[in-house]
Amino acid sequence: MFNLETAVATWLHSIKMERSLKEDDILELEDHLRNHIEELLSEGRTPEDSFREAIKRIGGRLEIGHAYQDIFWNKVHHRGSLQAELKARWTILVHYLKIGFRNLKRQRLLAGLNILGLAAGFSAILFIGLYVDDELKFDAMHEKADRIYRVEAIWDGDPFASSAMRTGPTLLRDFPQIESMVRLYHQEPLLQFDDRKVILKQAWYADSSLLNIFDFEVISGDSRTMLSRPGTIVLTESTARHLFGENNPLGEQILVDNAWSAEVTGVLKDASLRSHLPFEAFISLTTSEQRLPGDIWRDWFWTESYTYVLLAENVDASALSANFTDFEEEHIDPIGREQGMQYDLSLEKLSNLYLHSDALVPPGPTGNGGRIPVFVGIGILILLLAGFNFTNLATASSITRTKEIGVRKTMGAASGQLTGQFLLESVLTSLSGFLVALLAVRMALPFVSRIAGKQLSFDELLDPAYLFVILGLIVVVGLAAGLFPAVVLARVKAVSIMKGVLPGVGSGKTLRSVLITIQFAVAIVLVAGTLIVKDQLSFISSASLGITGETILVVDIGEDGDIQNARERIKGALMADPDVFSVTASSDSPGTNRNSARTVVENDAGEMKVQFSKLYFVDHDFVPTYDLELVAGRNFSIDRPADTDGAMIINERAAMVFEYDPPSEAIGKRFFQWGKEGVIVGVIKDFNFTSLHDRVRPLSMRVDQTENRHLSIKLRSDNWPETLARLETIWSEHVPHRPFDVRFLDDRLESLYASEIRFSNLLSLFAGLAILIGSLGLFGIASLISGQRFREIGIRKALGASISEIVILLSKETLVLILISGAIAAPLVWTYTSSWLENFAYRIEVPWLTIVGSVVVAVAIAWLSISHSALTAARMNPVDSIRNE
Amino acid sequence: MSSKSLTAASVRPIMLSVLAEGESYGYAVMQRIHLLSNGDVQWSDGTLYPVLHRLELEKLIASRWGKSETGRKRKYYSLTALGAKALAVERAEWMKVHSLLARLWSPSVEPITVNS
Repeated sequence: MFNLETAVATWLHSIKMERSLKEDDILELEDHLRNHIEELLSEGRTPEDSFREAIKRIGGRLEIGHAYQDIFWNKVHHRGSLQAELKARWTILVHYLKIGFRNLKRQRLLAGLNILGLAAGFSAILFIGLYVDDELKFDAMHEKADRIYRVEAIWDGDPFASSAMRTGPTLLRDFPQIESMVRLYHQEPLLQFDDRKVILKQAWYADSSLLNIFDFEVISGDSRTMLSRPGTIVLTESTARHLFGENNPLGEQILVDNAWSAEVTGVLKDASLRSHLPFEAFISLTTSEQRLPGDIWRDWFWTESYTYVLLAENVDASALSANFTDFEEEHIDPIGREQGMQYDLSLEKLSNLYLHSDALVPPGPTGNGGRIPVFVGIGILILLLAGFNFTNLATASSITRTKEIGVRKTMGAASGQLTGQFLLESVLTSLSGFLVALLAVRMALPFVSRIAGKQLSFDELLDPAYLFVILGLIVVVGLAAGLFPAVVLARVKAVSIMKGVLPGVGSGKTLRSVLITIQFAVAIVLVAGTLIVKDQLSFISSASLGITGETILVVDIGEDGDIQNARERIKGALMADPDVFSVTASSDSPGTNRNSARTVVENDAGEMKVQFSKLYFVDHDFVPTYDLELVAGRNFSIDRPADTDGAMIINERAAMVFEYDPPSEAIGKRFFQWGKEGVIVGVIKDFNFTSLHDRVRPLSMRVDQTENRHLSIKLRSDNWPETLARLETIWSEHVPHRPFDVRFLDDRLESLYASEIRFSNLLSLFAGLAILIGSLGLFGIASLISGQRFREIGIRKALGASISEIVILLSKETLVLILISGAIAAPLVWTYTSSWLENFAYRIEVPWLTIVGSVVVAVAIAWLSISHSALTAARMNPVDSIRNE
Repeated sequence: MSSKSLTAASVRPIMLSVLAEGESYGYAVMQRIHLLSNGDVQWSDGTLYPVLHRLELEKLIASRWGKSETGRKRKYYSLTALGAKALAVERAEWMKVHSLLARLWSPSVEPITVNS
């Protein structure tokens, strides 16, 4: 019996199967159908007849479905509201996530290795990001940064960061394009307030325009006038706190160098670590007009101060410096021709001073712009290595997923859905790796800050721009690393799985081999590179200075008149200590080079020849204390009063520059230097008194008892703390007003290579991470593969293979790969380290042994990573594996 | 009304024109079209609804849910101002085609000759 309602309900049910129809559409169609039926009924047709007629007119299910699909959306329009849609998608996502987590949990080892590897990669990139960010932010705090330039003097093609005192004021007078200028002259004063003392290493005489040009943050005082009057000093917060505690220092008088007093007129916030110009105090330059010799203000060739200019708005610096030729011709060149000297002025932009300036004698730390791309490259490389691990482990472990894939495919999963699932899992792993990295970076940051010589801040990472990049990185790494395995796995045919054809060991093997080779090649390059950098650094910081023998302590005495006067008494008191061999007072000690003096020496033909040479003022004990070898002539003698003003000792290099070969011919020749004249009495063998980046420069030494700034104490001790404590006691008895400001010569010299040492420290860190990633990957692959070759191993053992044969079988291929890596890496290391070593005038040969050693180490580490699983597999009872089948 | 492409092209102006007569609902619109075409329409009614929805999406018509005389939920459609404009444009175009064809086919016009 026909029931109209049942028929309509059945029709509605069938129409609901069409996914392109929404609920409203169905309601509408129902209304339409019922209207039609009602009309037909009213015409007197039977219910069954009416129904059939109506559904014929409305159309078949598929026809309607397609119409909705084609005309309306052109694709399947999912039923339900947006909210319902999102909910459905979310459900699927949660489902994928759940399965993802379960997979991670089930394959704990694999997931752990993946996450650890990626964490190592992300840590590297985070550290590098923080480091590079810090480097790039140097000197960025000055509002007028793009108009601030340093005036540099180019002598014989070498740019010097320093210039003459006259430079600034004369430029300011001659060029309206220059709005303002400031001069800075380095000081190391002893400051004293009541009984509190501090010796500053970074104090500067500065023009009052300082704060008009630079935006150093003022805490108290008037920035416009604080450096105007003579005898005024501006302290940093730390310096102020050191001397005054919490009291207000403004207006107080400080005793400077135990000689004169300065009024505190301002307090600045401590110098940013991101400044090419470190400072602890500024003293008004007007003060120094009374305190420095008059020559300094007039002499164009006394270029020991720093000049910064502020250009007016919209002034083109290169156009401006093009006009310097006339300026030089007017002011500098005539005097230069007279004296046989010449240099050119140039402008260097503030933003270049830290990273991109090669100028000699910079006022503070300089970075190395060329290293930034190197670091970024290393970071990306390491992250790439971590990604390789993921790809490798995923393809190697695919066999464990094939059953899942088979079942999913059979149940109707499309290959796109499977790819999605796998990609989601890899992004999930990437995210986990990143979170672990974040934790690791947070914990290791103080350590890394120390070895990088920076104060890196974790908070930088929380910058939204950073977070955005990071998020992108996580997704990109996840997708990139997961893409190959995801596509390969998703393409596996369900049928072949059912047939037992598994994409196991074989699938992706070539890719895997290539990736492992690259991983280890990179690791070997980094390790060998690091070792060679370290070799070179230990070469230059050890015996290479040409100074041998005992430990030398250097006490900084500044320009302290009281010590100058009591010098012989203090030396005597120190000499009385049994551990002290000798004591010498000098203006400089190796590692510093303050004075560069115009030196005139007669050559063989009797003509007076002008050259620049470094100048050390020393006493009679300098040569023996530093074990300097006299190749000709004699040391200064205390028994010859004429030596005090009229004798000079030069180094071999200087002898060469003045055209004496052999150097002994220079003995007895006349010299003029800084208003003194006399004869050369000795020639010493070259020793490296500056950084070994540079060749040894000409050096001259004269006796001058008023120019001493260092006391060098040569001693031998078995108990340094005790010896130092004893020396300090002696010091405070004789020099109560000045702290015992002492450093080992070794440390002083090492600080010349701070940038290299930091570079090598960071390299070690990255090399370590690269090796870690590589071995994690190998470890994982080895355990997976020996698991997959379970049966094979069992059969081999049953047929009589020994443990060692099996271990060799399992490790042979990998070790061959590592050797290939070595072959790829060695020439790269050779090339890169050779070009790096070019930076040093004194350098080691690129050591083949180190490179070979790194390859051996890599092989050893690789073998260690795989030996565990190889041995486990080889040792098992063959019965187990065969029964396993 | 047999050609499929002609059907596809004409269904929009037809729907808009029907709704221009006043607010209506799906069944009534279809009935009106059947009536006017003397039952010559070949489409299944169900396939016309997506066309209505498409027009709605293009904001040429608006819809609201109401009740039928018997209390069933029913969706009513009406022409929007935009729809009226679109209809005017369509109308002008169709009229152009119409007059062209009408003139071509009227006996007073010379048959088209091909140049020799």
